[in-house]
Amino acid sequence: MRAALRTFDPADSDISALEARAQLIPAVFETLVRFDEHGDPQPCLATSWTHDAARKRWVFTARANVLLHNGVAWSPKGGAVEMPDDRPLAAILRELAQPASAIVVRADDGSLLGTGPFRIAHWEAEKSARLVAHDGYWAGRPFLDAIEIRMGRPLRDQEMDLESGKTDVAEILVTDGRRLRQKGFAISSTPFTETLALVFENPRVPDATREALALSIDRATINNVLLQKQGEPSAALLPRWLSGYSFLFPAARNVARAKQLAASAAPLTFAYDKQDAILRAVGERIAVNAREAGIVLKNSTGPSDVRLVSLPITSRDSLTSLEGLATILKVGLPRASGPFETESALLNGYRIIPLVHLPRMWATSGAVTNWPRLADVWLDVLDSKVKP
Amino acid sequence: MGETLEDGARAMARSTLIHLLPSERPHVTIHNLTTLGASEVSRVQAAFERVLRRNVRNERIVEVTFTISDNVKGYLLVAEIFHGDERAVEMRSVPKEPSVAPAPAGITIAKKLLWEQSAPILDVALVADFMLVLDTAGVSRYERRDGKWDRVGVLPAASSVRDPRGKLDLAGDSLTVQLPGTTCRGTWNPSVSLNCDAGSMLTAGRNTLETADLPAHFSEARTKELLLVAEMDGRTHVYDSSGKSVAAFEGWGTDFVAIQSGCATNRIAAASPSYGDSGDSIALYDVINNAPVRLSDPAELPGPVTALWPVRDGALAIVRNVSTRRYEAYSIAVDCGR
Amino acid sequence: MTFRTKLLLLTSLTVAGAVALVTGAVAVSTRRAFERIDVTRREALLDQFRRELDARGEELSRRVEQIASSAAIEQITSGAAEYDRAQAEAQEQSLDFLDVLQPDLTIISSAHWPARFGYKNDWNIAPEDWQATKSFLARIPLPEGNAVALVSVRISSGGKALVAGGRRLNAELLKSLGIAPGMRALLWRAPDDLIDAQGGVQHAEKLESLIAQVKASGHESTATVQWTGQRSSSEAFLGLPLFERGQLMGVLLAGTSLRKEMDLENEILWIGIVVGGSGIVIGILLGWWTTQRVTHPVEQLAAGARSVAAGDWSARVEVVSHDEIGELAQAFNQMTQHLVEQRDRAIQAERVAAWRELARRLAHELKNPLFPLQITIENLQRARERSAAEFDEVFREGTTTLLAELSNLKTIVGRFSDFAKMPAPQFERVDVNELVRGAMKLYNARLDATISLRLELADGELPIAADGDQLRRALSNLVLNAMDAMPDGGTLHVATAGIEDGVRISVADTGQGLTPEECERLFTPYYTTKHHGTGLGLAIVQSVVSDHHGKITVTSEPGHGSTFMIELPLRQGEQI
Repeated sequence: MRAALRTFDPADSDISALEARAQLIPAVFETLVRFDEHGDPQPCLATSWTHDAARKRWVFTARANVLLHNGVAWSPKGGAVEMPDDRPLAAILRELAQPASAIVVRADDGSLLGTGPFRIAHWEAEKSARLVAHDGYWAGRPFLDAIEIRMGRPLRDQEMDLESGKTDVAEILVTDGRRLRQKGFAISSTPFTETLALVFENPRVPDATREALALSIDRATINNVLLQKQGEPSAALLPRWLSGYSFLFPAARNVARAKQLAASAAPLTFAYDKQDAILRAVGERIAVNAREAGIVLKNSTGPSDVRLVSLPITSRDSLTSLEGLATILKVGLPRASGPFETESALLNGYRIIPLVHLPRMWATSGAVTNWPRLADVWLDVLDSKVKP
Repeated sequence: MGETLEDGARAMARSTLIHLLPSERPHVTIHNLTTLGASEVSRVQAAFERVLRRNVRNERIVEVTFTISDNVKGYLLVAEIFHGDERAVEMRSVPKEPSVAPAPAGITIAKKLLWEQSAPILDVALVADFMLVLDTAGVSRYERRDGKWDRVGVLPAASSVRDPRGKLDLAGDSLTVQLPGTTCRGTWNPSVSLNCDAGSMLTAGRNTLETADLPAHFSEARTKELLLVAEMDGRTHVYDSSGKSVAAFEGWGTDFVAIQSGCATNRIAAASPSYGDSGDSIALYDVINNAPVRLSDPAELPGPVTALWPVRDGALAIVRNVSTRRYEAYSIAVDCGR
Repeated sequence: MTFRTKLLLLTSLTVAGAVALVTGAVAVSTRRAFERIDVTRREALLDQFRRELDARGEELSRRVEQIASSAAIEQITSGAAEYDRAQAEAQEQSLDFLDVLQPDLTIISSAHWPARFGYKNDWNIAPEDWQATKSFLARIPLPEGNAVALVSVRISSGGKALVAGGRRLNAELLKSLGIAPGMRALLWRAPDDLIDAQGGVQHAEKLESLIAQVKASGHESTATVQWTGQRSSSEAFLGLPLFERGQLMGVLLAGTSLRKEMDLENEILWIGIVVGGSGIVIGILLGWWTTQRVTHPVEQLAAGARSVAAGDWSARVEVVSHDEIGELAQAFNQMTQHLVEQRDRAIQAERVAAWRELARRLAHELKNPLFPLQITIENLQRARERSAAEFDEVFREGTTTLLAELSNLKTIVGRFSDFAKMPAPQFERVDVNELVRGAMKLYNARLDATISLRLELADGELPIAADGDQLRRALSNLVLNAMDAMPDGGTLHVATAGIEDGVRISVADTGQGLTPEECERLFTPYYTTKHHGTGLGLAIVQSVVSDHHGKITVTSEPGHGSTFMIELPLRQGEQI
């Protein structure tokens, strides 16, 4: 994978590889509660939960027959996990479903033990990891014996590894799906779990300039041409499959109005990861759109006025996802009643301009099925026929 | 059952009214972002507008945009009320039904609880007062005495496969047990006695089926002309009689069987995930123009279906009850109704 | 400046001047020759550039045509290809720029700026370009600025699209020009970029003014640029504007290094300097030798003349040559010989004159008392003859007169004797002011109403080493002379003043004054302008002044009086 994880500790607040952590950490460290595909909290290591009469203390009943990776039973005192908390249950469950709330036991040798379907057999920070199946996993041993992970691997190299058989799974750009499918690889994808957005890093950029830039961008063409219609053009942070209301944030282009607002705007420095082909193509197109409205975006490599970034959606719960985005963007999460109000407050003032939602995609060899649900991934020993 | 879309639309309309002055009359524009059909959308719109209808003197028209959207949790009804440049927004979530298409009159799915236990059940076979239960511990033989089932024997045949499957086939007193990678043959009566060999229609070490003409798949069902296969990509593939793939659709899970009984002959009982807190549901489908058409109302089950096997006159569904966390075996029958 | 120096300078200047003239003429002639060659070569370079541009244009058109007729264009126009598909085509044909366009010039795919799809191409393409075979220059907008390129446009084989391809005007183009050694071509590309065959140009700012001139005028211009502090780094440039459709695309600069020319000029200059320097040195040596031969006798003559002026009339000059200088030396010697002889004769004559004058003065002085003596004795003789009583009276009167006149004679003889044997002075400390005051007191009685005294003494004391008596005597003589010079009255002005290492005493009258000849002969003993007197007064003054190692001068003008000034030193040896 591209991301290079500094640590596998769920408590680590490294925001640089959130998507990869969201995929891998739950395979090793489980939480009391986890979100299902509808974003609803479901039992995981806790089978049920009750509160005291005053609703200030919650008791989560621990699942029985759960073994840690060293074979020792996980048995919290009294068979339950108690916590004093007077917040609404929804908020408590949301927090408990976060990787940071995973059940982690530190062994005597300092290694971390979890309860998930895989355990860490080898860890070299930012370089490689080997997860092996946890034979005593309470929901049944996974099909896979082991997962070898090479970190910090550029996409091009991942594709070459896939073609040469060195790997079974490679991350791919959304624009490479068609090409790789034609080569005979299976393509797995998530729903839209990435949001490409422009983020203003310089607070002194005038409001009018920010709005002008937002109005100048042709999202439809970016999605249709550059992204081969793999994405969903949007001015919302959360994709519609998650929030349902993304269409409420207007994404229409208005070049005439943008020109008015941008009259005598100073040039802005513009940065994006030029190693990322998608960001590069989108960034270049945004520069062209902006130029049409009279805004000059000058490429920069260091701190800049505005930056094109890919923001990960790491939860099926809207508020949890917005919390994660606020953490990444280093802004405070506005106190608001619901996800729509929270998202509206975050997007107010055009300091963040969402552009398009994209899925994560992988190309897998014909031997792999059920990717990316790691616990369910099956690997054919013999190469099977995959219909293109 | 939860709130229907029409109910939700009516509640939305009431919320919308709060934003309108007595002299204001809404002009509603509807947008549908879901897969709902035109007729359903019309019904929802009608329900919305009915509540908003009012006779107003010296009316002022206010634009209201009503959007039917959806998200992970279900449907999301959104109303935008525009006063000049100002916009007010009301939202309401409505859980999704498995299908809001009206079922044809008459056909229903009848389910009957046969057995429940804590260990995962793989298959259940009933013969008169005897019952064989194949679970992860082995084959248990039960005899009904005084209305209760007593275990009278067990043959250990542990399976440590994740999401294990197993199949019982009874023919007279002989018994064939299919486990992943292993087939055991013997008798069940008077006691269970089996000899096991390698080889099975269930793929060794996993949860798929494998037959001579089909690679690993989750389920298969044959109708008169078609073969439906739940394949590894999560979709249901449709093959014609010559074996050519003619379609592939999503929406069903990995468990479906062909029913050969009465009005359900050559039709498919399929388990589908339902949206909401409850478990799966099973409905009867026909495949018309290579696409599934639901024929019955779905029968809700208290949890996800872990196995669905065809049996004479119906099917057997194994369900993991999310509330009790116990495994339940249901017989599924199609009531062709009136 | 000596004659020798002047002669040397003249010689040197003559040599240097001649050499400089020749050097300058050669340098100018050389420069003109170089310039003519440069012009020819630059024109050749410009022609070559134009031909190369045409050739490249044809090659470019061929490549664009290949792309236009390829299947890839069909894919691109049909939307089957990715939006940046043009990049592969451009790479295959080695084009720097490629736009696939709809007929209305909307970009379908761009190789050099892929993100511009959907926007209009702005290369200034005109409909006639699609049919034309010739390429043209165009300004290509890029994300980082503009570039100038040679561009060609063709219609795709399906007729649904235009293919516009281009190649930069770059260093490769310049490298391909066969340029003579010492020359180079630079290309300024709009809006602001200067390259040569190797790429970027260092110190490009030095060409800014020439480029600006070409841009402003729209015509060729020339300039010379000196790249470093050395003149030999200079380069002469001709700037040629490259216009296309009324827009300036660039400026071609043909440069010729002036190093060889400068080197040659330097060489000529150095040769000139060396030759000139050598000439000057030789001239100096020659001049020195010449002047040595010429000026030495002249110097000898000058030395001899100085000796003569100093009083040594016996000075002689050696005669070493037989030319004009030798003749001059001989004449000098003869002249001094004559001068000596004349001086001797003059001295003798003066001596005779002085003796004659002394005799005259003696005769005159003695005659006065002698005549009464003779008369008295004759009276006595007569009186004895007459009566004894008359003889007694006459004898008494007569002896009285005889004694008086004898005393007078004695005085006269004494005065002459005094002058003959004036004693050596006895030096002691004498205050000049006191001495003058004392001396003038003696004469207060003799100053009558007609002569007024103006005494102007220096402040304080004026002590010197002197013989007070002699000095008093000298002063008295001067005062008496001054009074004698004003028989009708006037002003007697006596003054003292301190001078450097001495004192000055001046005695001035307002009498009739003296002529220059009288001034000259004033201090000659027995010379007097007075009708009486021995004429020794001033001689005594001069003798006293001389014994005191001083100086006496007289200034006078007839009718305006005379002023005698005595200057005496403070010390006589170690005495004060």
